[in-house]
Parts: sequence; structure tokens; C-alpha cells
Amino acid sequence: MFTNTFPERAVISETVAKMLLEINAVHFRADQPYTFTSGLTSPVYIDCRKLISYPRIRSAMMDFAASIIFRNVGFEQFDAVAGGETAGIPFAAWLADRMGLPMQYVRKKPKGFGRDAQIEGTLAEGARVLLVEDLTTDGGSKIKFAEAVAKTGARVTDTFAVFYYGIFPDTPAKLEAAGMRLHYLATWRDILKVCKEQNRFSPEILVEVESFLNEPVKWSANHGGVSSLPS
Amino acid sequence: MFDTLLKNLDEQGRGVRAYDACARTARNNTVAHPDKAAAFLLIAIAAQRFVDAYDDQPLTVEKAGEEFDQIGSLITLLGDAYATGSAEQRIAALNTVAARLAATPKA
Repeated sequence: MFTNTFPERAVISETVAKMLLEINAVHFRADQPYTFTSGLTSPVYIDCRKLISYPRIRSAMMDFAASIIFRNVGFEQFDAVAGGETAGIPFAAWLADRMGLPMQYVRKKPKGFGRDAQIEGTLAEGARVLLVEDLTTDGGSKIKFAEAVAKTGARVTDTFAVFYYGIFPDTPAKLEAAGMRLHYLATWRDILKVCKEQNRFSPEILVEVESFLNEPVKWSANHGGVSSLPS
Repeated sequence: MFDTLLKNLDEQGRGVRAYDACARTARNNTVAHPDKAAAFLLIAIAAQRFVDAYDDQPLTVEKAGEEFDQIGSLITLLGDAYATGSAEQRIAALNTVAARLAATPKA
């Protein structure tokens, strides 16, 4: 269960950024960028799945997560915690444990045979659900998962991600429009700040990263990726 | 007709969402164009493999380019056979693409 400690938001974000750097979950490459699912090219990549192998770090992060959600939303505002396939599932399990709530997981698509289930676990009609994933970029996958939950008669009211890219200003509003409030622990800005303070990575790559964070679509267009994002 | 799928993949940035859209369109086209259903189904399988492989995995621009070239060669082979080829040539193209997909490690 949750330890009932409530660190300051800034301390959480800085600590999480340091944790992600400590386990080498952060990757910067400007010469051979990454292609996001949207087709945007990017010099940054983060692998939050590595966290599952670090019990002290993941435990602290889940305490941070519970503190943010309880403080921002309330202690009795959820009936269930649902993890999005695949990377959201372990985090949902640990967070459900912290929050003392039932857990489910949501498949990206129904299995297509047998029970054709998209949601595994018991979810009551009218249940207020916290949807959990490892990452949030533009919120697209969360909206799809929430639609699957809604088909059961339950409702995703909030969504939590360990890491939020924070590069598309309209993402929180997009999620709000879909009925969800977004909660997260850290963003690329937090990572960049710690990198500068700790002299991690070369100054040149950090300039590229900052350039991408300031104008991701422009950076993408200049590096062979899409020059606009689908609405 | 097939090359429109490739053009869309390219214009949409060669990312997972572009391949997902390609797979869905190709699958729908098996119904809309039953005379080309086998070809569209193979394209749908190839595009879906990309989605399954990279949906939650890092994809470099270099790798995205290699993958695009691979699916491009399959689509071009089918497009040429269906545009000008005989029935035997179409079957040969279908078999070639199916064999290539079978030989490629599954995602």
C-alpha cells in the first residue's frame, strides 16, 4: 500500500529524470534519428520498460505516482486501475496495489476469436477507471484504450504515464476532450535539465535535443520525417 | 492501385500508424476488389508485420528506410504482374511474395 508521503512535484520530476538516466533508459541520437509511430523523426527515445528490472526505482516511482494522483484527484475517486497493453500492464499492477484497487488490462485490439476479449479482468459497469501506460506522446493510444473501456460501461476519467513527452502542447486538451485528465512524473524538459546539470551527453547533442523539444515538427521536417502531424 | 498504398505509406512518414492504415486499407480492399484479394491480403500481412514489430519498439530512420524498400519491392512486384501480366504471371508474383514473407523472420 501507499506510504502516504507527498513530495513536491519538482522533487519528483527531478528524481525520476535522474532515475531514468541512471538506468540508461534515455537515448539521444541526432545523426540516426528515430521514427515515431506518427512518422515524426526525433533525436530522443526513452525505454521506460527497463524500469521493471529495477525494484528500488520502480517502487519509488509508484509511490510518487500514487502521491500525485491522490493529491490531484482524491483518495476515493477510482474504482479500478487498467493497464494498456503491453508496457502499461506492470505499472498498472503496481499502482493498483499502491492504491488498493482492482486491476484490469486492455488489449490494443480484441483477440478476434474465442471470447474476443479486449479487456481482461473484472470491470463493473459505471466504474471510474485510471488508465495506466508507460509513456504519453500525443495521447492517441490512450484515447483508443479509453474507447475500449467505455464499451464495457465503465469510464476512464484519468490517465497516468510514468513519462510524458510534453512536446505537443495540445495533448492534455485532446485527452480532456476525450474525458481524461493526464498525470505523469517527468517530461523531456526534466531530463534535459538534469543532463545539463550533470554534464551528461555532449553539448552538441543537447543542442539538437533542445531544438527538437522547442519545434518538433520543424526538426522532423529537417531530418527526413513528416512536416505536419495528422489532426 | 497497389502503388497508392506505397505512396500513402511514404507520405504519412513510414511510421507505425502509416503501416497500420495501409494494413486496414489493404484488408478492406480484399472485399472491395475480390479479383485482387490475394494480392491485397499479402500486402495487409506485410504491413501488419511492421506494426507488430515496431509498435512499441525503437525504429531508426535507417531501419524505417530498409523496411519501406522491402514492402515497396513486394508491392511493385504485385503491381506489375496485375497491370500487364498473364494469369500465370500473377500467380507467380503471388507465390514469390508469399514465399518472401514466409522466409522473413516473423515479428
